[in-house]
Amino acid sequence: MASLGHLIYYSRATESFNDEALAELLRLARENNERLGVTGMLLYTSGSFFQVLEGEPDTLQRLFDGIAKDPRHTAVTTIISEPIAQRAFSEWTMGHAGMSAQEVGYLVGGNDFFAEASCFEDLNPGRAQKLLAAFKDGRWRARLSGAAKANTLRTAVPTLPRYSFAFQPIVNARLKTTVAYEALIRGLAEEPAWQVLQQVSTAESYRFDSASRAVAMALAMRLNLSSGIHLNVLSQSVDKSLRAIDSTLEAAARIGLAADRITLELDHDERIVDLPGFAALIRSVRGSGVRVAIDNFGAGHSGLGLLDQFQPDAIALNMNLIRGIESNGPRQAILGGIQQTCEDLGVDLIAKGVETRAEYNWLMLEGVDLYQGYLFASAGFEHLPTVVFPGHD
Amino acid sequence: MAETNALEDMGYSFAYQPILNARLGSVACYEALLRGANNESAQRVLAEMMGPRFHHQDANCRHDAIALAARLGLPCDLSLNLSPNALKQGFDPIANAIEAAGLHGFAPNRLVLEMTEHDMITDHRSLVQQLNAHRGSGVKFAIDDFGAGYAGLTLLAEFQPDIVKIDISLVRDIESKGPRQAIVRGVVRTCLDLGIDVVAEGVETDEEYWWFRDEGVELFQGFLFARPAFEQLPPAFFKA
Repeated sequence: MASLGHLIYYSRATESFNDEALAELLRLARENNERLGVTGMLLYTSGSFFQVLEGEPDTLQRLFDGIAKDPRHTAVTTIISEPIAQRAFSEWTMGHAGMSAQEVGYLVGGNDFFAEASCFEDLNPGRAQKLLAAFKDGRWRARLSGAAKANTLRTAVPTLPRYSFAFQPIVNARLKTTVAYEALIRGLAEEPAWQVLQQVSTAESYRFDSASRAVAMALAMRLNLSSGIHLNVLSQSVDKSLRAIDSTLEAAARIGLAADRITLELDHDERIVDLPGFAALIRSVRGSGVRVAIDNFGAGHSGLGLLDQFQPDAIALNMNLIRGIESNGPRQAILGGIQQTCEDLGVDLIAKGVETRAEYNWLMLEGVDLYQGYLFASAGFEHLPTVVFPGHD
Repeated sequence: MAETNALEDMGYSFAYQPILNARLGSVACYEALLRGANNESAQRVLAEMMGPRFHHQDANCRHDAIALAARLGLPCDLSLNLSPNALKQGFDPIANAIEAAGLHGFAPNRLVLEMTEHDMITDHRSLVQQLNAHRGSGVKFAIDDFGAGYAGLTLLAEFQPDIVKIDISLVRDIESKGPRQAIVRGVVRTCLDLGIDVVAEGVETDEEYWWFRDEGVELFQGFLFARPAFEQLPPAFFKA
């Protein structure tokens, strides 16, 4: 795995910066970063800096340690520091090279940008805009979706397994799109997951996990999957299963499924003994481009402390929290809190097990966009069901 | 002091640390912290207490913490630690603590019983019923070490305590930790919506304090304001 990371922080300026001062700051940063092989971007608006740095992790840390001590800003707050699969700003050749001072002024001056984002659109590639838009909305973290590799090679299912998969859509109800299908393991005659899994010994469970992921991906691609896919980590030994991620990535590459279309869902009831070690493992998985979601958030031992150690791409809310939420005060308050945390961290929130219009209406009004549940589509055995979007009041 | 000697005979005593309301500039509560007779750490005392009669000894500790606080002229609430495991074994430490408070002239609504999030995770349904059964007395419940890792926010769906104490691991250096800030904002928002008071505990620096104040948190505990004082109710140092 190539060693590449990004570090994103924001800070408050201790002195006021005019366009000239900013251009000078940027010129120095650019020289320095070019030497270090660091790319990224710097934004300044209303006295706040927001900077994305990309490069070799140790280099980034040393650079950041220096930046943090710079007296021209204060309240330096790290938002995210984690490995990444690829640079999002490499096409900017050291951030802002090639731009005139005037353009830079627009960029970092921010006055026009935050009034009307249009002046930006001419300057920047899509991904950068996404990040900036997220920042503009008060979100800290972009979900940088790398371009899917155009690879249409397909292979047949590698072995003849004694299990198969059903697929249940995860939808963006606001955009009325299907963002992913969750692969749910089933017996060949549609037996439920537990019947399949009880035949797998604990010792071989992580190998089974890895093999079954390959089957799920191959089946989905044969069914012309065009969205993302969610794969469950079923193994009791989550860490072993995650260490086998390379074989999943190889299998995905063979069938033309880009890593960033894959989301691994973790649903562990095991108490994590070594949380920092586990977090490091998750970060390395994410460094390969695969997304990570925590399923059944809050149901077992996957509590808030987990989010302090690492930030998943998505959190799926426990069905118990969704059920009847339209009339349950504590559940509403908890959803509000989780939403607040997720928004601040740029973590997607998926409401799973949504069954009634009343639940859906309430969640929509609260701004939840991502859903899974009978209300939209049941799981389809060996097919990708289409979604019926219910109207909402 | 003869009475203190009585405590020494027990092999343990207490230190008290204030929980203050920064907005009102007053001490809201003192938390009683178990210590050895010569201010040794709680772990040593607890290790000696372990055994089949632990729950009764634990209850005796609360009696003594109340008695000592009364002698020291406690003017506000008193917070005591409670292990809910005792409830499962047919012993009611809550009724016991309320009764002990009454003997020293404290109404139940001046008593706060703290449990950790960790204690709450197993079988919380029946536990919650037992806790809520005492609500009518006015006794207050707090969840300590909240956010340390296990139950998290969904615990609050089952049980709404009077007070949530945010774990020290989420408080430390919060002014410079983005994820920590996001988590705490989520907790604070949920608690405000549910009418639960939030305490930031283990606060050691001005920066931590002001971050929480800016988020609307009013209750604080930590070295920044006062260290635990052995067999005393120490004054709290308030920030301007």
